[in-house]
Amino acid sequence: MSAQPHPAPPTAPAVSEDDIAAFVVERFLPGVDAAELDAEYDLLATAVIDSLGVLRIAEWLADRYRIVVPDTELTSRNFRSVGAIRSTAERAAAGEGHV
Amino acid sequence: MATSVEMGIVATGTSFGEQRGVAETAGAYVPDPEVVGALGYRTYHRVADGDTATDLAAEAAREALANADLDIVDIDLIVVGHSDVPEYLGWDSSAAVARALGAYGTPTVLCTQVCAAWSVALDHAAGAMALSADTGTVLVVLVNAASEAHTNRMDFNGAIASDGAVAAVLRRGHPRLRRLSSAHFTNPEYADFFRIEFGGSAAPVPPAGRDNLHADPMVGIFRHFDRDPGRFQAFMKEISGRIADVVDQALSRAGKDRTQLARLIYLNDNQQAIREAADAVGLPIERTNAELARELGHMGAADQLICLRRHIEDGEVAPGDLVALVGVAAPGMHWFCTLIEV
Repeated sequence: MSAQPHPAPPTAPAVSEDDIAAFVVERFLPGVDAAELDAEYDLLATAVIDSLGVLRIAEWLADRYRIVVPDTELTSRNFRSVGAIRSTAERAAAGEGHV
Repeated sequence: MATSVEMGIVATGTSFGEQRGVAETAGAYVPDPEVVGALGYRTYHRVADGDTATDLAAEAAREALANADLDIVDIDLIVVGHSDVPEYLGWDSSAAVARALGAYGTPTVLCTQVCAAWSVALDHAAGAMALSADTGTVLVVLVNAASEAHTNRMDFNGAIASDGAVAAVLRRGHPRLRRLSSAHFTNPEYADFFRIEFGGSAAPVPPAGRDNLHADPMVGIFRHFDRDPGRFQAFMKEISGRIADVVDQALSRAGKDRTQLARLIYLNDNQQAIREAADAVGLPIERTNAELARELGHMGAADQLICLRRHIEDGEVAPGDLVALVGVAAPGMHWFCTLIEV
């Protein structure tokens, strides 16, 4: 019996910071140009997002990228900037559990 | 049949831990002190190492007794509300406070419903007076000393936990600072919210790699609502809605309405939360304890009576003013209001 090649493992979707910024601006910063939102802009210290915002972003990541952020990763610090959201999503996509 | 007695606050006393600046010290507690700064607190209080909640409570009680020109033997009942982790498990800090005050034979009661303990304590005092003509003078002591081994005071459910105590001498028939009525609502669906995860009988010791200081209570809350933003948002609305409900119920029981309310004293929460509470009741934030909260921090069950005293000292309330002491407590969750006529 000849060996069949293994199917390539599914690759984690690339999470775009531009895409995250567009969602954050649309949902939490109406009137702001997404291009002006720096990836490290602190969304927590400036009260742009709160606990409800964390859930909305997690829901969006699941809808948009099929990435389910584990419950234990749903901490506000993991969503404090566009860059942090991307890192959180990538860890979740890679199956890593902890911050 | 009468269901309540008239009682008023004769005198109060307070004690605090050392006052510390948030900006100067938050970095020792959290990796992102700027987030803590956004809560709106300027300072908080921290009890000196080695000092205990009992020490704070007894100091406040001594001051209240002195201000009332009373001795401990004049007190018919001591009610202690303790809103953080006690010094020991299986221990009654109300008896410890009584001992520190030199009481002997005076009955004591301990209220442990965290930030709700002040309302429960005042209700218990009123109830005891209603049940027995022999109970005419009650000492209520409320204390909070955050156990930094169990909770991170800078990451305390959206507030900064602070250490302080207040004591009030209440007397039947006293015409000032009269407790008119109270109201209380409990939604037990949220009984597990914001609990301290490890150290109780269900989980005496944390599993490897976990501890109370790094257990984010929001994770359990998100799970409870199946991570559904809509359900979570409804919960947030419930918090404000029930604040309005208990205020209206307490007002109704006293034969009053919101137009007669001079001030709302909420728990010393973050500025946004106090603003939402004020909005729920229809008062401007200037007629709340928002500015005091910035300075005091969240002193658990002691918040409301400390702020009442401060508002009186600062001339922000006057005799005859109607003040609503209001709080939300978790675990519970409880919503409660006590109406005081200054």
